[in-house]
Amino acid sequence: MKMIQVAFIICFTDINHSLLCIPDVASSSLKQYKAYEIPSQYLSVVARPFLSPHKNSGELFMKSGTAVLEKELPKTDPRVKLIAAKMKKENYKADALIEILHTAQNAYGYLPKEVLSYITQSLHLPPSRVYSTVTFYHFFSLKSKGEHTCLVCTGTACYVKGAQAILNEIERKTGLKAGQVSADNKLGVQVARCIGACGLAPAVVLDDEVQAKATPEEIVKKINAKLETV
Amino acid sequence: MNRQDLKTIIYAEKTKDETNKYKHKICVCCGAGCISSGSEEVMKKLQEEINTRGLENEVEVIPTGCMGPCNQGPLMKFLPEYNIYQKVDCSNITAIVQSQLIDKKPIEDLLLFADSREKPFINAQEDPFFKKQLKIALKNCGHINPERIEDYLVHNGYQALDKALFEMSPEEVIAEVKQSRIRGRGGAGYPTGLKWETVYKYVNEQKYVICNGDEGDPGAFMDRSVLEGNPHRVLEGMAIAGYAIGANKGYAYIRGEYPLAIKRFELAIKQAKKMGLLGNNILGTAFSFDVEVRIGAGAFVCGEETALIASIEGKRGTPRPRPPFPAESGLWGKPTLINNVETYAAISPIINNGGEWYSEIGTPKSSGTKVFALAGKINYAGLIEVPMGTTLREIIYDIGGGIQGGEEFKAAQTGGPSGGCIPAEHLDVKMDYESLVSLGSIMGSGGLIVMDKSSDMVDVARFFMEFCMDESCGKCVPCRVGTRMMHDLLQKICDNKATQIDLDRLEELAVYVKETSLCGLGGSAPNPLLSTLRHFRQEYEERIVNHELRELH
Ligand SMILES: Cc1cc2nc3c(=O)[nH]c(=O)nc-3n(C[C@H](O)[C@H](O)[C@H](O)COP(=O)(O)O)c2cc1C
Ligand code: SF4
Ligand code: FES
Ligand code: FES
Repeated sequence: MKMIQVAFIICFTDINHSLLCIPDVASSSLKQYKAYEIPSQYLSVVARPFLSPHKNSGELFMKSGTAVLEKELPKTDPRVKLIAAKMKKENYKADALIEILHTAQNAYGYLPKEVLSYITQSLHLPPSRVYSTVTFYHFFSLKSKGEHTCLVCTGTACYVKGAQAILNEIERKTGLKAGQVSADNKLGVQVARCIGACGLAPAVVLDDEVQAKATPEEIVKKINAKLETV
Repeated sequence: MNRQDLKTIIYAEKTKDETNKYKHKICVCCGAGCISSGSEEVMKKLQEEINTRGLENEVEVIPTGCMGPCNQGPLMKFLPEYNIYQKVDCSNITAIVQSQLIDKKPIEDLLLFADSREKPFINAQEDPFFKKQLKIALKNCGHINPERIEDYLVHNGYQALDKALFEMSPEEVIAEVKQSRIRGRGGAGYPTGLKWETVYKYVNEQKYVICNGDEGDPGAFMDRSVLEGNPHRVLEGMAIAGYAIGANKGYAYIRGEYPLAIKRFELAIKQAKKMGLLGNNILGTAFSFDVEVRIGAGAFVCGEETALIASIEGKRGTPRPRPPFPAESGLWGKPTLINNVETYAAISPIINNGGEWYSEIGTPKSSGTKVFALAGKINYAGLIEVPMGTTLREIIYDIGGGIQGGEEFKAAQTGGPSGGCIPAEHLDVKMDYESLVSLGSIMGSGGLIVMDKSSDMVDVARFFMEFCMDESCGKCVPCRVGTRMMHDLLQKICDNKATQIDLDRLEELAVYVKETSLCGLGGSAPNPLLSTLRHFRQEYEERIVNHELRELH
């Protein structure tokens, strides 16, 4: 690995063009720059840091700079108690945010808006800090993942062994693509990058139960069985 | 607890083992792989069977970590005979117990690899799958109950910590690790001894030890198996590291996708604390060391050391420029040592047997052994450990039993999204850091995915690029935008819509992204692309030529 970090500069020439200027590594001094034009359709990706978290966190729960508790959480709810206990255990330290979010996610299955506001207030953090952390990690979800979940591993081993065929079959039978939840919130389909059962690829996790060496037909059958038993 | 108490406990446990009331020991693999094929049920049934036969005082049934051949699970091992049964079904437990324990004759048809070898090996140690391996990091994995610290103690557990604390100075520990010439098993292969020395030299009242168990490479499960199969070994390695560099606090960052590993590691911490092997004044010495688990939240980039530190601090896991390296300014700005799970797992044998012993294994530049996770189109997928320098052919054909369905080998992928593919003409490559780099791949953390002709290499490159695009933290432009552009171009090639210009552009971009990204994710994201271009260029060109031909018609 090279030790020096080569700097790069972005120039926005006009609204539709941006240039990536890169020191020419071939030249002996690093002073010569090469310009690389980034096509306009990527402009939103280039400018993403200027567009996202704050705006969205505002939508979620920010009013004039502080978090607001729109809906009081029922203090007797065992899930709320769990989160409260965890926060207390961690001494309301900001660096335990991820641990606390794990607790909340486990309790609710996702992170409802009011729960996030509650954590934000208790830890005295800016909402954008919480929101940006939540959206950074795949594990956390702002939406319900469905009553039953079907998690298809699309890691390399499972990819080589036909994970896509399983996803295709699920989509054909249930109409759900990866990341979608059925309208009645009964079933959610997700993908994961390796669950560590690669020796038994392809792997699918149906409601926390690992299905090893899965076949498309078998998985669809098991999903149907889950949906029927209410 | 002091040193004498520990000796007494070990002695008591050992004599219990020797004057053993148990004549037989049955290990049931309860690694994550076997659990998902139903080993917990098997274990319950087995215990019931033993009890109904009134053998519970003669036969001990224990759950163990991964034994290796995961796709043959659930596995059941009879000791001392070393007969392993594969794909054990609850329905044939009665028969197995009857013939194994009463008739004293194994059922050959149910033994490991009985369905794929002409004749299975009665003693599984004779099987090439095991015979060709050399287990150091995985030594006790599959033999001991990972949830009992006593099992580990009997197998020389915490002896290295004891030795380090009472017989060696921190400098001597570092010297021993340096002499072993062990290199980091997390991917980059930086000499571990040097890293320890660097952190040791920074003077600070507070230092940290971090164990990187984020194992982000999709298709690899080495760290998981070590953590699940022998968590105390990792804990011991971390404590020795803490003693050597002068840290009193450690963090183990473990992937959230591995609940079992988290559970067992947390249990191990609790047990070690209870025995005084962790916590304040370990074994009555002045050395104190505590370990805390942090759970990952599903971001590949958090395997990168600076991102991992940010994540432990409860922030978004984005890397930052280095220097300063974590050795100087890491967790909360303090000197921090970060090593991989497998690196820590190799420490206690090095201290016990000496650095020289370890350095003689493997090749001169890459000493020791490496754990690989074999997966993909291979007959015996699972977890193996071989000396560095073992050839790919030996791994795939002798240990792995060849390609599924007798197909032809096409390529092996090592190093995951940061690595590359090794084509058939390089099957005799020695698996060590330098040889793999010379082929345009990397050792990586040890994922080894075997592909046959059904894999389309352009799509493989697209798959990894998609992964990097999704996992890019978005902090720097070359990676955030570059991976997306490269992915789109690769998709275009896959759809047979690309022209030569697109291919040229792709190659140009790959170099830019590699040179200018902030961290290793972007810096190595083009590797799978470049290596497939290098070894399978015609697959790319066929698509493009085809396209141009179509336009002519
Ligand atoms: C994108 C990226 C992902 C990484 N993922 C891991 C990982 O999953 N596990 C790991 O041990 N090291 C990983 N590393 C390497 C670490 O940054 C670090 O080098 C390593 O933990 C050092 O330990 P070692 O010296 O024992 O190898 C990753 C690096 C990068 C750039
Ligand atoms: S190279 Fe990619 S992952 Fe690394 S800092 Fe830049 S954007 Fe983030
Ligand atoms: S790749 Fe699917 S379990 Fe690892
Ligand atoms: S999990 Fe049982 S052999 Fe690997």
